[in-house]
Amino acid sequence: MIRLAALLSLALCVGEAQAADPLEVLRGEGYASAAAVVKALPIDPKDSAWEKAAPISLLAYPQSTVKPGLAEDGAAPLKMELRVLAKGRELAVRLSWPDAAIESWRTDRTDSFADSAALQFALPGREGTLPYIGMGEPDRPVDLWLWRNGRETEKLSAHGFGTLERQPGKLPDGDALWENGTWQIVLTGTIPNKAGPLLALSAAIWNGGDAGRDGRKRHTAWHLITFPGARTNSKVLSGLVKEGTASGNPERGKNLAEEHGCSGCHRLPGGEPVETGPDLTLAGGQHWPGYLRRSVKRPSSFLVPVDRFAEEGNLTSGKSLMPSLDLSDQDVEDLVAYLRSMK
Amino acid sequence: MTRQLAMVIDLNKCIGCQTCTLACKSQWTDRKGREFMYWNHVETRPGQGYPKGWEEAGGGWDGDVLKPGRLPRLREDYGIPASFNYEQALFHENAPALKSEQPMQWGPNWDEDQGAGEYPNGYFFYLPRLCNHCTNPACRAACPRQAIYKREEDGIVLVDQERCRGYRYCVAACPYKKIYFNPLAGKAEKCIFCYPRVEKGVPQACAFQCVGRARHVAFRDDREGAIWKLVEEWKVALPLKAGFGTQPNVFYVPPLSPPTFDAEGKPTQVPRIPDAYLEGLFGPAVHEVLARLNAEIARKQAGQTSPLLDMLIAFRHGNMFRLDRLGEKGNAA
Repeated sequence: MIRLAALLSLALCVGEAQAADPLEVLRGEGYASAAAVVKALPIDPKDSAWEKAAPISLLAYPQSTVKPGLAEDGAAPLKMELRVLAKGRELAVRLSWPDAAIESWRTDRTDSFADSAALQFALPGREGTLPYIGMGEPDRPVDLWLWRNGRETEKLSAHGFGTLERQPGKLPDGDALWENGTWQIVLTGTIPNKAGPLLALSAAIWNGGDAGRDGRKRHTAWHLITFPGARTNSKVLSGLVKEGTASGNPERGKNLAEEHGCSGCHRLPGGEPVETGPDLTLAGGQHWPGYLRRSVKRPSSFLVPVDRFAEEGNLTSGKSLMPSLDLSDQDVEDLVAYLRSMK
Repeated sequence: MTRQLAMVIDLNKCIGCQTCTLACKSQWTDRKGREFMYWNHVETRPGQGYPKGWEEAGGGWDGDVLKPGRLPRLREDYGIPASFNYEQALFHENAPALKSEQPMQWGPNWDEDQGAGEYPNGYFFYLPRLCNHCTNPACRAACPRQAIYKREEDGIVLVDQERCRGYRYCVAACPYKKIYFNPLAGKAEKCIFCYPRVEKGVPQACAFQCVGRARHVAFRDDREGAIWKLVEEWKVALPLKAGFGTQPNVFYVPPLSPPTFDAEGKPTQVPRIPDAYLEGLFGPAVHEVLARLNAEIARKQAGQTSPLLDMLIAFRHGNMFRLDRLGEKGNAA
């Protein structure tokens, strides 16, 4: 019986292999990159070992869903570069981003904030579902490494807004270099929880000079890191492909958004600010398409934990203020394609 | 329903000795990033206060919306505690004078006794300040992590040090600037209304040590307590800057003052502290309160009794505090 099951799964793999390689599809969409495997992980941002890792270019978008955020100040996305090296279950990530001035943690000031950066990790669920980008969800936890300039690093976990908690165990090592208006920081540590051969990663940066802390930050969307030679569960992979692609027609999606009056509650590109629902002007840059699809299909499947987004202005209602729309599968795909174009 | 422990401070009895300040500081804030913090302090009014200019630093409520506020700066607004050349100055013959080792520009009691007005009509009074343990705390509303909470049993407002991430929205939101950021710990800290003492039935250090017997403590619903009598019954104690909208639970008996002198040096009917100034701090009810206090003093001077003045005089120290947490509502033993 066991042998038969094994044969069956082999057959499935072969069947899928004839279609496009799912990882290739995700890489093509710009949602996945491979870590480079090395014998020793570097901590120095200038270490030559970083040359072995392919640069991953990501945009960090102003957080615009919860207040206080950055979007209200008209903040623009920032270009970041990530490089990822792996050695067994150890990971080293180098983050680079422009910042005109160094801000450090000061023990002689009460009104200053330190330049900071964080990495957020998540594992795709069995269906390839990724958590909400902002601190995860009740049943989709995230792990985090936090670096603040001049302060000890922190190892944290969260399962939704306000649940961030320090974790015991060895803290990630960090090193940082600021040169010619660019931060280069390295964080290394053990891959959190029971990471498989695939890890979703996102980065956040805070500008101390702009009172950056909490939601006053920029963040990337989820990016998948694959590990060479590791075998990935095909169901997870096909789920990720389904979530990470949007075959719809963005033009038709835009028309649908107009028909359904989405701009009555959400700010859309070129539209007036409205605060009933989350600002969507950068939704495609901030979010994993799978999350956008879930929200369009079933608005209450995950409630962004802000009271005013919920029925009766109260999260305890458990229901999103957004009505369930009567949408065909094609409508959903078109809307997701439209949302994804907003970056 | 939250029971609320509250305090009344009689400004006519405060002599600005800072015993309350020291009682608090030595108990709670003497080191580890708290050097600049005074959970309780006494400032001279009129004056810039502590932190400097707190009244103009924003925060509080505008209806049900939080008003923006700014973060006080350690050096410029709180003042960095100076160190002194004790070693050189105190132990040698022909030693140099004792002086601070850093230039001092501002500190918590910088404008003490400065006040306002021209001779012979200069005036000032002391205003002790601590966390108001507000009924509608702006600090609590400003925290995105719900790290600030108000205890059901006594209404004491506390910062959960485990939950606090040092974002400082609370510091900006408190219109009294009575939450401080500890830059060593990276967390917000504030007056805890001496809850570990209160839980044992012992009054707050600032209140218990007050040499002027200026501070009364009781639950607001305790009809035998000084708060009920002074705030609700006799209506002689008022909150500070009620317009901030946080509903403070520290109340003040406003200060009476001697009359001004006219050009001939004769006393007038006008008190030294301008009514308008007191109204700015305690609201329009302050006029009635001062009139009531004067009337009670007149009664007492005429040989009549005044339970109100007797309570303010506080013949027995122990009678100033009613902390029985087990007492039934309105009937604390």
